[in-house]
Amino acid sequence: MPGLPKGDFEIVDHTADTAIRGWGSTHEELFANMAKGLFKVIGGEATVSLAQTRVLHVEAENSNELLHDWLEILNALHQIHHELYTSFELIIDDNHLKATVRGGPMDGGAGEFGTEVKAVTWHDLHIQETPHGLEAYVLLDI
Amino acid sequence: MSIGIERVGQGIWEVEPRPDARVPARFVASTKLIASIREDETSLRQLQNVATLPGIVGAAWAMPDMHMGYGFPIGGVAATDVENGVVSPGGVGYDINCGVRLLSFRLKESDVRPHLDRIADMLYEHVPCGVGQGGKVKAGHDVIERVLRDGGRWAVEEGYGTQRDLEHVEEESRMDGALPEEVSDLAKRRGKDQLGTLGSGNHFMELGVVDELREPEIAQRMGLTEGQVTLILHTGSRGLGHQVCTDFLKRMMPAMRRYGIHVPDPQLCCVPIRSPEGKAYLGAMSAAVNFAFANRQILSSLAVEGVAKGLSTRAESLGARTVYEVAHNIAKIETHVVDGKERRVCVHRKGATRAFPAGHRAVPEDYRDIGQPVLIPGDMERYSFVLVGRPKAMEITFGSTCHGAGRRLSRTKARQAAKGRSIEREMAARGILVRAASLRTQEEEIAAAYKDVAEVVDAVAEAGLSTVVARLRPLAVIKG
Repeated sequence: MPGLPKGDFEIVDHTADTAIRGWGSTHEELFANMAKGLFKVIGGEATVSLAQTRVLHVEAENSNELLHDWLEILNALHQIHHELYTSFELIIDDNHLKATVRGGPMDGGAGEFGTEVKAVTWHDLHIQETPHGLEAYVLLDI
Repeated sequence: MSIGIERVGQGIWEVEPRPDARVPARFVASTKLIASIREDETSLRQLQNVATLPGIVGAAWAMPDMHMGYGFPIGGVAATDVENGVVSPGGVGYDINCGVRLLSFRLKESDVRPHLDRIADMLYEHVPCGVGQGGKVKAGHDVIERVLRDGGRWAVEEGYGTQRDLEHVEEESRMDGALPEEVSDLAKRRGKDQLGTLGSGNHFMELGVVDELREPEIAQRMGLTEGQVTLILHTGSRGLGHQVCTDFLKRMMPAMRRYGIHVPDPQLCCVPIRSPEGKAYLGAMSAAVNFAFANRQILSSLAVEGVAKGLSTRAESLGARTVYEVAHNIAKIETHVVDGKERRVCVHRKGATRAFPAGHRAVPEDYRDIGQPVLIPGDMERYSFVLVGRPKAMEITFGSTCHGAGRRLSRTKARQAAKGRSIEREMAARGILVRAASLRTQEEEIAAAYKDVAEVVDAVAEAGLSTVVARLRPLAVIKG
């Protein structure tokens, strides 16, 4: 039997890259936890203010694609604005996602950053129901 | 191990085929490397999958530095017929035109050794690297369009380096057929301040020295002599290229279904080369290739300035020269002989390097009688190699060879192996200085995390794909 989830997400070891496994009782919670995992990989131990608020809309054909595109757009926004995001409020309705994300500029951050993420891959990307709620897995190209 | 493999030639192995394979799946390995490759079942399965691509010709190939990728294994090579074959973004990868440049200087190790600390500092200061580091070039819309069309040529016109650099770059640093209009606005926004930035992960800049000549005459023709100071630069098309790949995977998935193409892995997603989506991808990919060419041209110019500052001299006095620059994540339309007939094919090289032999017209004139230089970086602690293309590569692997060492340990395992050690101090004790944007990267990139690149280059030499010309040893390493 697999053990109970230990928290919101975990960073999974992988030879060439890094994967994130996350949990949530709802899709909203799951997607927020996967985003926290993504920014743990990028942001490392750095902390930033919540000075910036951004509102996003993502639409996809299915929930896997929605998760992929959600994490991709967050990574793109991080690169374009040099910001890290740590707070995610989502409403997901039939493969449409509206999110309010908060974070701050990296130049105001304290602590050591993690690593750039080139892309969120489709390799083994999945969302599944488990006895403990929803679980998702994505592999990042580092 | 459930996948059967069989030795079919000197250093050449064949993987048992899938029932839907169109061509054999083959890889290059020495007897030394075969055990570790056998253990990596995922990359062998990925190689089997590549052999099912519509229009693939000859064989699906993997190089001895192969490891798990997305769709294609890293180290994968596939040639598809231009008329009835497909193009697959997975065969190029997210980091479009990730590649390597080698520079040489009119300097000996003894000229730089006393000033190495300052040179390392200056290189680190001049070359933006690490997470979230923007470059000094702020490219507006018009500039991005020019970069996407003209690549390294744009950079030279802007004062970064010289025309002579471009002559020693694949495609002379500008890929024809770029379609900037097929690159999304999001991709352009990701790229706008990433020109002249190194990135993080396994990207690096390394000041080194030629420490062994295996083919002195060929090395001399490349301008390399024993004890000479060199600089290696490894980076790609940054966020712009990554976004192009992401965009086209999304665009191609429904298109692939429309064309009735079935692939065993969604990351192997592909469309006919002649389809509107195929043409758009090749145009956008070529544009991203040009972005990477411009990026390396700018970075190499910044690096030369950094070395000059470190030596308190002028950049012009260093005799800096581009030995060559290769791409190792790219798809190109080339002419190859397949089953005795010349054919136009789209050669996908995903973690593989073009290695054209002497006489090929794509080899710069001054190297044409020795063959195309091939640059194979190793880990930051040991060594890197300069090779040259051989006719055998043209005969069997569509003019391709290996690209690097390939990871052996995960990043977490590497950090565990580095725990309680000062990597910086250990390297300094062996005469190598390291400057890294993060301690974490430094630990993740330790030598033990990688396969021994010497074994990789020996394997391609044994198979006759390329000849080892020179070995380079690191002096100062800049990591993102």
